[in-house]
Amino acid sequence: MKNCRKIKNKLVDFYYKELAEEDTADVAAHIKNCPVCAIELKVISSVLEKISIIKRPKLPGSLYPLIKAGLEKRISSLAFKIWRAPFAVSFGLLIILSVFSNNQNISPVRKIEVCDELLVSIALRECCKNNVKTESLNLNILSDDVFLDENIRGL
Amino acid sequence: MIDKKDEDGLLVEGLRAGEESAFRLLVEKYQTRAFSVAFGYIKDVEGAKDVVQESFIRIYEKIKSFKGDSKFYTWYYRILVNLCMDAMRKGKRTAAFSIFMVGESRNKEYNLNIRESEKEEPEKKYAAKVLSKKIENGLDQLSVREKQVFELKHYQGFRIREVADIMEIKEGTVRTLLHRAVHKLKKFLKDGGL
Repeated sequence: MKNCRKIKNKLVDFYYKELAEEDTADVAAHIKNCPVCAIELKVISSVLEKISIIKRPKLPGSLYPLIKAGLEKRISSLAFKIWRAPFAVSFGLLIILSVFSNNQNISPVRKIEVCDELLVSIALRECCKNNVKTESLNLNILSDDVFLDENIRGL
Repeated sequence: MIDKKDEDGLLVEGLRAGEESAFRLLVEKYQTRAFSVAFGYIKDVEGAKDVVQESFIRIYEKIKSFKGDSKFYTWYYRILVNLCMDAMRKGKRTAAFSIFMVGESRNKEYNLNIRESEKEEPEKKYAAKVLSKKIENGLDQLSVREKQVFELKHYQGFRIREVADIMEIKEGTVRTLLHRAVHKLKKFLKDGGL
């Protein structure tokens, strides 16, 4: 029949009762008069019934206690994480500070960073007075070359 | 009398307000079908329970982001299906996509749900097992999306529109996938002499 192709495309929907009222009436009317489509519908029905032979398992009891326990666990774990965050930051800062201060203390060379010419000259004179070798000082002196020459030469 | 939509709406509002009773009612309303859907993917009772548990925890956590543009249950099943897909991908619980896995100790509860007739006579039981195995092989011929559509439509009884909402695809695509699945199964069972 002319309409068979069109009807065959609707048979699965017809089986599942998913067609609009008008389409359902069309398919039903067609099937009455078309043995080919009627057989096709029978085959589809048979396949889907066979597939249904095994049912899905039924849920054995309520899952609510399990879900509630899981949720409480999740919430307490989240609270712990939130509590842990500032602790972790403080701990990290402590580590950084201790490393930094250790670095300063154990440095074999005393570091002085000065920009003030007066302070530099005082420091150098103090070194001379106390017999401290200038090599042990790592001086980063930001001043003009003439000033440096004069002071270094003077030691 | 409160209809389904209004009932869900009230429960969602209750959950947003932090009412435990609303959450409990939502769980009790959807857990059975959710478990069935999850089992369809995971094929393992304990694994399905884990996924359902996680899905409800997500609901609790994300309820404030649910704007009500779609129905609550399609939103929920979408979360559930995504979790099932993740579990399948991770392969933690299942070795293969096998809808009719029987005989494993973990699935005792599942086995008890096989039709009563199967338990009555050994011949029938054997025949049902053979048929199950053949059907299982037939379902393995389907693509992942065909299986998903077929599972939601045939085993869970969702409407095509609902399947489309859950899978976030068009209704026409659902119909096409469903038709393909049924015709592949028909061909497979026919070739297998069933």
